[in-house]
Amino acid sequence: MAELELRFRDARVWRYAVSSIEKIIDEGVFIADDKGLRLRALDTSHVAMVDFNFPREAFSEYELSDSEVAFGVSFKEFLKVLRRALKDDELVLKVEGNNVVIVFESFQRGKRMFRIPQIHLTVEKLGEPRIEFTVKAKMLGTTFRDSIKDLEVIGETLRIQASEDERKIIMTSVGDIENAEVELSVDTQSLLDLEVLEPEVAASYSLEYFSEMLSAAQVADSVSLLYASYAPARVDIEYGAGGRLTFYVSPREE
Amino acid sequence: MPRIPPELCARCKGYKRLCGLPTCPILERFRSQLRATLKVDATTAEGYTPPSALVGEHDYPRVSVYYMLPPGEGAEEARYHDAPSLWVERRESLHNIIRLRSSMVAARLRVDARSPQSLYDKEFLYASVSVAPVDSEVELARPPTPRLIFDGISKPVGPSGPARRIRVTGNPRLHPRLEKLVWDEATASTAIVELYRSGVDVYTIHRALSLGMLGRPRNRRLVPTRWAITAVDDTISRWLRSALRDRPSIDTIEVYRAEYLGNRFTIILYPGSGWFEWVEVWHPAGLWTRRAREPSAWRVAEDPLGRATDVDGGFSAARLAVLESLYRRGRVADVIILREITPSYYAPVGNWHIRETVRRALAGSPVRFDDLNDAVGEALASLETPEAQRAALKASPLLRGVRRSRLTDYWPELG
Repeated sequence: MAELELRFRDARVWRYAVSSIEKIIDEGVFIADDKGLRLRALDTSHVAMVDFNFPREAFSEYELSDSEVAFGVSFKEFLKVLRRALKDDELVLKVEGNNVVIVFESFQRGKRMFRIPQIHLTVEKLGEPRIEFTVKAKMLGTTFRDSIKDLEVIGETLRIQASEDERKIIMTSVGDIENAEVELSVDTQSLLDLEVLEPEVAASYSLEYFSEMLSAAQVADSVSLLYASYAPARVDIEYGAGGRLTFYVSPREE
Repeated sequence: MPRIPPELCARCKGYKRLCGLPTCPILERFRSQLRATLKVDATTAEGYTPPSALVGEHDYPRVSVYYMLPPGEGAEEARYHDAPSLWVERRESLHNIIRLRSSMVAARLRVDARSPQSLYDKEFLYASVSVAPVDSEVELARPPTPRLIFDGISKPVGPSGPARRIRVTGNPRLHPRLEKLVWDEATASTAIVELYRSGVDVYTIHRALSLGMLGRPRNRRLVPTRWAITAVDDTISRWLRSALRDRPSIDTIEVYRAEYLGNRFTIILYPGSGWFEWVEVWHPAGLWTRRAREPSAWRVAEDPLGRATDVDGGFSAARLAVLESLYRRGRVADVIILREITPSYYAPVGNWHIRETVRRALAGSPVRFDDLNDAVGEALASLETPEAQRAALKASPLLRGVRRSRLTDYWPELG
């Protein structure tokens, strides 16, 4: 009897989301309760944090044997299996004793089952981070992806500026002698929504962490970028039915 | 000839071909200037291999394998021709190291890198990874050409000629773990770590990987020595990092120093989670900076998961030495390594001296500091000229006092 059994319609969402998570943290503990499934973990360098949150409604089946079930995975092992998620595959995730069972189901390919060992970790109790973000920009997943890809051609540092009046954000990356600039605005419809609560807001981050979110953004409905001057940035990668993968990145002091 | 900026050469060290030329003009000039001291007219040579062997990268995958021995020397003398840790211990001069290397004859074989198995019935393969020198004879198709091969990562290779026959007369003795792994299914990275943990020295592991003796049998390749050295250093470092995960940090700031072959190292360990910052400062009129007026500096940074901003053989070698020392202590730390290269380092003899000098530095006792800024300030002040200090500061934000911010600074409850 499984302690947990979840069914998710599009297995590829998991494939791409976990592929980004794996680049930031090695292992982590998922916790399932009657609200949904979540995971929150800091990377070893404490520069970034991953917050994965899929509400119960995001799943087509959601069964728990207890009020709370936790399971630990090595993301490297988990991803190895999830890479086999193909178009039209449904994902069934089960916890059975010491194993995590991953099943892909589709009409064409039938039912494929993988078993990986659970790893036992102490759950890091990380509180809900609280910060007053003064900018919130919402865009399509593809807009986010293309912008970061443009910027990573040039430099390592991502600088984001926004001004209250102009209804746009400017992202730049600066190399030794070259630089790149991407401008997104509500007027040109490259932004779905923008809120700026201060006249000028600017901050810099390590672009590398944003590059690592691209895989997760690939299958996202939308991406929200939140930040404030000299403060961490928060990137919400939003999937259908309320599933969300969030990254926090601390600023670069340059 | 177009003028190549010296900063580019200092970063490239002849092996990344950043200038776009097919061969490095500096290394080429070097080869023609330094004639091998050994004049061999005969086409046969007898002696003990220290052991010493190298796989070249030119024409890959049709690579050259060099099997080396100093003719006529006894086993113990021969060993000293390929003995990096002893050289450092005895502070052997650059001149003597080049002399030791150039007095070995290298028999060259052309092999397809994709079929290392073709060497498995050759005794010299096992002699090349023996724990002790092995008596051998080489017969060359023509007298060796008296030139030296340098590449900056591997040790120089002396006069060489195409091999007609290599005969091993002594008995190669392999470390038992290596003997087992040659015939094993283990992946190359598992094998490298296993050998390292059984106490096989990294130089033997470099040769074993390079000669295609490790890895899943189907995937084995001959690996040019220069690539193998960095691959082995990186693989062991990755393992050391994972073994150190969740270990506590050191709690004071420690500074270690050492100097050898015109290279000065300052290593600063301070409380942290495993970041590395490698800063290299080349004085003008040095090996790669002959025409420069100003010092050149550049840096590599690596995060605790082992993701680096660039690949650098020197950094790999130094990081291995630092992680080894932290592993012995069961502690993690953030690390700054400052390497200063003076013009007296006139020949690139390989990155072994970096690995060994940093190992020796860390074996000594540290000077302790209370404030990282003071430790960095003193490291910078030890650089020979103010220009060198400026170059180092320009290259590294960390040295300028820019600190990496952590999420825990914003949400203390995350700590």
